[in-house]
Amino acid sequence: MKKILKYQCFDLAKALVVYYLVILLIISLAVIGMNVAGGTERSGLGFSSEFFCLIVGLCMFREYFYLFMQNGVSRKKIFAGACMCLVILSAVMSAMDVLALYILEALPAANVSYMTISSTLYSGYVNNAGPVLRLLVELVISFLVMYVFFVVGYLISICFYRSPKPGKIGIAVGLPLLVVGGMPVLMVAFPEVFARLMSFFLFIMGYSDTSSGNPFIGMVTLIVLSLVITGLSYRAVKGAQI
Amino acid sequence: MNINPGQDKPIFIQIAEGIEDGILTGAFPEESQIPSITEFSVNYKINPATALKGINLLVDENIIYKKRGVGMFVAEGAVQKLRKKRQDQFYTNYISSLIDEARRLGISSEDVIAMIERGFSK
Amino acid sequence: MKGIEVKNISKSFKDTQALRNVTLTFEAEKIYGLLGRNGAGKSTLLNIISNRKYPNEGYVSVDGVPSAENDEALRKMFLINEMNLYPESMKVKDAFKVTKTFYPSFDEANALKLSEMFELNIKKKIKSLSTGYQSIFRNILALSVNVPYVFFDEPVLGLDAYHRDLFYRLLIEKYSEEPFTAVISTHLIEEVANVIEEVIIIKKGEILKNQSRDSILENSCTVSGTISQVDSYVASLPAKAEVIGSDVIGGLKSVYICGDDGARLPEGLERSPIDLQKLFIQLTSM
Repeated sequence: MKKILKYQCFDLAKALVVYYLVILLIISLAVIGMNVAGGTERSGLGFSSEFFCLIVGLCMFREYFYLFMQNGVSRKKIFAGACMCLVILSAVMSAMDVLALYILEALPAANVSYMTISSTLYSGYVNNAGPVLRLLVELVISFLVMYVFFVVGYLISICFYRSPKPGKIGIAVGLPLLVVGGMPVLMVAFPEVFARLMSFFLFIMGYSDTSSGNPFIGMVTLIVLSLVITGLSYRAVKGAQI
Repeated sequence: MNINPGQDKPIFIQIAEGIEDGILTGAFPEESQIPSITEFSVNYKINPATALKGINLLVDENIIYKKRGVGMFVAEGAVQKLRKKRQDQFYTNYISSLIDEARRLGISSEDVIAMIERGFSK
Repeated sequence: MKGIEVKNISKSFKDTQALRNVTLTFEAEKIYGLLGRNGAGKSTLLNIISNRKYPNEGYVSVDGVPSAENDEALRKMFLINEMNLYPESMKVKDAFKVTKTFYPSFDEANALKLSEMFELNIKKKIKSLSTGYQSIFRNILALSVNVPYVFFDEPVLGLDAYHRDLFYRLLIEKYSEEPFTAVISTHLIEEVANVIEEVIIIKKGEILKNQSRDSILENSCTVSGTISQVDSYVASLPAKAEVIGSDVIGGLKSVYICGDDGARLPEGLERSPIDLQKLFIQLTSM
């Protein structure tokens, strides 16, 4: 268990380092650019971390599954190792993101803000909370969001691995189409349905446009969501064969 | 020594006979150490159990003896014992098949004897 | 109890039944030959034993403990087959290191020594190796891993004659130094005939023969003579003897028989031993 975890963490740490180097580069360029051109920039860089999580999750299953199966590790252990690894990565990344948010806030000269999920969804709550509570909310929310993105990616990649060829094509084509094509179509063709879905989503996340919002509702939702998806992933891994 | 999987004889017998030949020709003198089971099996690519089975035939006949932790040695008097054994087997192994073939070809016993004498006088 | 027990294993894929009610034991410290034609179910059986596939029915136990999803049991086994399960961009020497972390008994020094003997460049990435060298790479892993049960699925595939010879020598050397259970699945029977101690012949998902090589060969033979003589001999055979094939050329007939020690062979018939390859061909034809 420790060995699987160590191997995966070291392996993924490389990707993480590269990712944050790129982010650092973009921020520095933005800071320089803004200072030269004047004005302020509200960047959504914080959200790119969630995409990074999704992609890493998508790439995480097959290679490790093969390697560990060759080396006499059970599926149970493979799954537990992957989850622990995702928890650690989520923790590290949420810390990094919150750190970036705070640093850019503390540097007024930077003129660039690093938006994270919680600073966007719960801006009213966060701005009125004490410093400790705020830090806690920022950390927990971004940790949970990242974990959900990781594990969704992981689940998709197992489903992809286990599907026969037509299913693989279905997933590879269908999922991006659903996200890129489905949402706008829904928005245009059935604006009411879309609006309902959006307000439901915002409701379960504890967002409110009238009050300052309740991040704790969001936390509960995210915890339930991550537990459900983790459970589904476990079942999917248990049935995987070579 | 030549181990031939294509031959009709089982491999363990071929191993035993190979060692016997080595002893008779002096390649493995009496009281000298013979190669280990591992050396035999690696060299001829045979299962160690097979090599052991072959060598145990010779151990049972007191031609080879084992020294614990040291190895296997040719027993004193092995050459004589083997020569006696092979002489005893000479009739069944060689003469009877020679006679069988001679009968099939219609060669008389006088002719066979003459041929044998010719061979010896060479 | 030491050894691997395969109990009533069945496995089917979509429209083919790969294994039918297979029951076997692999005893400790013996070399087995798992012989079967292409598609007979050899690889499926090995994949199930090492937990890579699930059986539809039955179970496998290792040293008396059911092995499916059991890490302790899985750590006692190592399977190599034509699939490379190491990350493709991994270098050979890194693969040795990774294997060492999961199998502490893996002998890295031995792996490096064997790499030199096979002239395998350990700095190369696994994916850049030729088919033959990928086989060699996996054989080196299997010969260095030092676990009680090692499964070689077609180990000499793509190897040239020299490397095949070297592989068998190294296998026997390893086995002599420290005996382990080696299961070699192959269809190159002549080469392994003398290496193995036990023979398992599998045909269309069923086990045909499972006994020691010596006993199978001692009790199998070719009997030849005139057609009528051979036929009457065959009719007189006891029930346990089984005629597995025959050839007729002109008035001469040869039959291949299993389970006959030839004790009551009449005059005029010739009994000759049969080698494993011939026996296999007769048993698995059709």
